[in-house]
Amino acid sequence: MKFFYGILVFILIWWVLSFLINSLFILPSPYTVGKVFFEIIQTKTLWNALASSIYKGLIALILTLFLGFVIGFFMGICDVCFELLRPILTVFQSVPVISWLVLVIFLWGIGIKGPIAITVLSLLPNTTFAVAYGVKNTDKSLIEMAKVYNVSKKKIIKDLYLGSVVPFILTALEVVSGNLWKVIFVSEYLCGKNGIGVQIAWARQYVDIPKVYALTIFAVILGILSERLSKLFVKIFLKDWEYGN
Amino acid sequence: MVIKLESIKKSFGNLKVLENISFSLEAREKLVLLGPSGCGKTTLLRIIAGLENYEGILIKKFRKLGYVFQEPRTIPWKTIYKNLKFVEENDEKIKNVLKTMKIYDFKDYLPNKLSGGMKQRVNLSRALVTEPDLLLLDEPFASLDIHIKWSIINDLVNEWKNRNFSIIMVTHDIKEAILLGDRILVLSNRPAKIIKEYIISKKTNEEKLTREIINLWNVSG
Repeated sequence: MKFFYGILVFILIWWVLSFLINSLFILPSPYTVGKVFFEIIQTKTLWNALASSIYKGLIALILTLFLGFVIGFFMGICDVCFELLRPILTVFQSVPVISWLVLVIFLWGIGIKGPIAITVLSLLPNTTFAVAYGVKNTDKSLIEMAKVYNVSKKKIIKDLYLGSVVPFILTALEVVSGNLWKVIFVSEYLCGKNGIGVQIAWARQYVDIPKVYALTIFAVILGILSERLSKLFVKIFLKDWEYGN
Repeated sequence: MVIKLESIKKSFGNLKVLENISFSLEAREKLVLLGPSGCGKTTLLRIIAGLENYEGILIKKFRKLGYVFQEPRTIPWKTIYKNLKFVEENDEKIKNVLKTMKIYDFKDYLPNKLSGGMKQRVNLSRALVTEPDLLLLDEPFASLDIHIKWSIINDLVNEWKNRNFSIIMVTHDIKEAILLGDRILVLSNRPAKIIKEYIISKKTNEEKLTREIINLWNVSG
């Protein structure tokens, strides 16, 4: 209930500010934006754009988690790999989206590949580090126990290392899903052919500010929904992953 | 003979932990290494298990080893059954040992849902399920209530009677040593060396032996 009161307060402040600023180009009123919002959600264009963004988002998410897991796992079990890859990933972590843009536009031009590549490159370092630290944090006493009982390496990797890394992957998933849409929309805006980001870019091109705001609200709703969903998924999955002897 | 140690020495940097430890263990023998806290008992057990390097000669003639750690070392995200499955594939063996150790009804529980005594029963079950020739016990009952301790030791001894394995247990608890051991090797303070050997029989006077061992530790510093 408090959440809805918070939204009401937010709309009220927005209303007051838009009344004071009194400029459609800077801050249109909630009513104007709301009207546009309900108009655009009835158009096929928006849902096509949304489908395109979700498609890119899911591919980027799967690629990020897969690559992050593979690279992070090797960084976790191999100290030399960790030290060799850490600087590269740290650099990747700090590269602004705009710099990747130049690279992907030269490589693939405008299209679907660019936003996916930018998203993966932006989210990969955090995911990889999360997995690497997860593997590094594997309880050494359990590894020792496995050694005493001559447990096979395959089983140690599957049952101990992978088991230890699951909570870290899920936490990474939570963080990634929070940032995923932001990066997708920005990269679509910069080098996409279709998607919510492209819709925002067109609205800006036509100086349709209420539409920019309406699309932003749509993006925010999508972001919150996906974050809530991933949190729920993580909570359910981690229920049996309780630690501590 | 199951195992023989000759002049085993161990140091961590400048810290001498073990000094000229020599003994051997026969099949189906229950040997207790009794020493004061921090004297290097666990290190000795870890050497036998192949977890530490050492100086000296160690002849191992056992095929399979079971190790009951001081702390349960269970995999937190796996049920009790799956914890045993991690070390032994045979489901029948797992079921039997869980029944013998009286934790079969808890097989689908996660370790953190169990009490300390139960966890140690899991620890012991995991060691027994592999059907070891040699069972190492590292003060496994140290943190348990006396009645739980006695009950687990009783189950262990019953299991030992039915199977064919030898036991080396390290402890600082004299009563525990007398209760479980056929033979007790008394270790001195660090660096640990064997200062006395006792053979335990029904005639052993527990009180007298306890006094003797305490005196030995006092004299050895």
